[in-house]
Amino acid sequence: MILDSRIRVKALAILSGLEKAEFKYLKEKLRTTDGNLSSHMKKLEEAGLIRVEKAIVKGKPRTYYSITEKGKKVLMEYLEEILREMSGKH
Amino acid sequence: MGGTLEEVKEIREIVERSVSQKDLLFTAKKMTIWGATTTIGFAVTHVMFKQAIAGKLNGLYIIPWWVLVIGVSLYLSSRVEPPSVVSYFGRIAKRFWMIYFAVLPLVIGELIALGKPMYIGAFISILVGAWISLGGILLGCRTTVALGLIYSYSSIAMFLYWQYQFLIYALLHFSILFLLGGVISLKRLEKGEE
Repeated sequence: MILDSRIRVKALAILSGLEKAEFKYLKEKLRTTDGNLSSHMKKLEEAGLIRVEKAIVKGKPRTYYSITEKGKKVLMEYLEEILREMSGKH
Repeated sequence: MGGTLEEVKEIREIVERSVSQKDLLFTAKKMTIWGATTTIGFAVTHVMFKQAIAGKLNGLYIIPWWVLVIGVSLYLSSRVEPPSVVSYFGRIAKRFWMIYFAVLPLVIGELIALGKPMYIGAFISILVGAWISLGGILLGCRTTVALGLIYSYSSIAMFLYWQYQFLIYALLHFSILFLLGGVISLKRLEKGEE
């Protein structure tokens, strides 16, 4: 399952409140390494949950991420599933 | 992943925080630019206004002057590196400020044309103060609400000392936008404070 990683869930949650965020910003917020974040973001992109936008700013490459409608839906379903499971246990 | 209530709460908090996130360095740089240019803008407007009252200058020249001030501010702002994060609230706040600066020269020109120069500052500050406060309330930002109230209440001073209304504006923009929003924020960021 795509959301079986804490970092991927948190990345989607951060992006759900934003129009877009740069790689560096997400790295700071998620307190992870470049390589680790890259591989998680790649998986989210392949699943169609996020969009990637690359730009050159003052000669330096920058990568921006934004959440897709599918990403928002998947995150919502994930949270609803947790709540459903919990209500089933009680 | 565990899938606990704590996790749901944590995610909810992350989402709530992210809607109002902003790139502090970018915001501070922008405020420094807009604070500096509009302070100069109002100081020169004060001189032009006095000349217009004395009949030595057509008061409507204030409009192209402000078009120039806003043009220069926009150009300088465009030179700042884009923000690392853009939130939905940040986008709305930006639109609030853009409307303010776009409407400003029109209102000044309109009131000069109507022959009511003494009410310009007081009128604008009440209008703009209410506009900024409304934005602050909608975005849940207390600093913006306070800023709007300062603008609104400054209308009393502008009405009483109408000859100095644009100097009061210059002082407001210098102290709030340039000093507080720009220079002090940049210093704090340099020291690593959030």
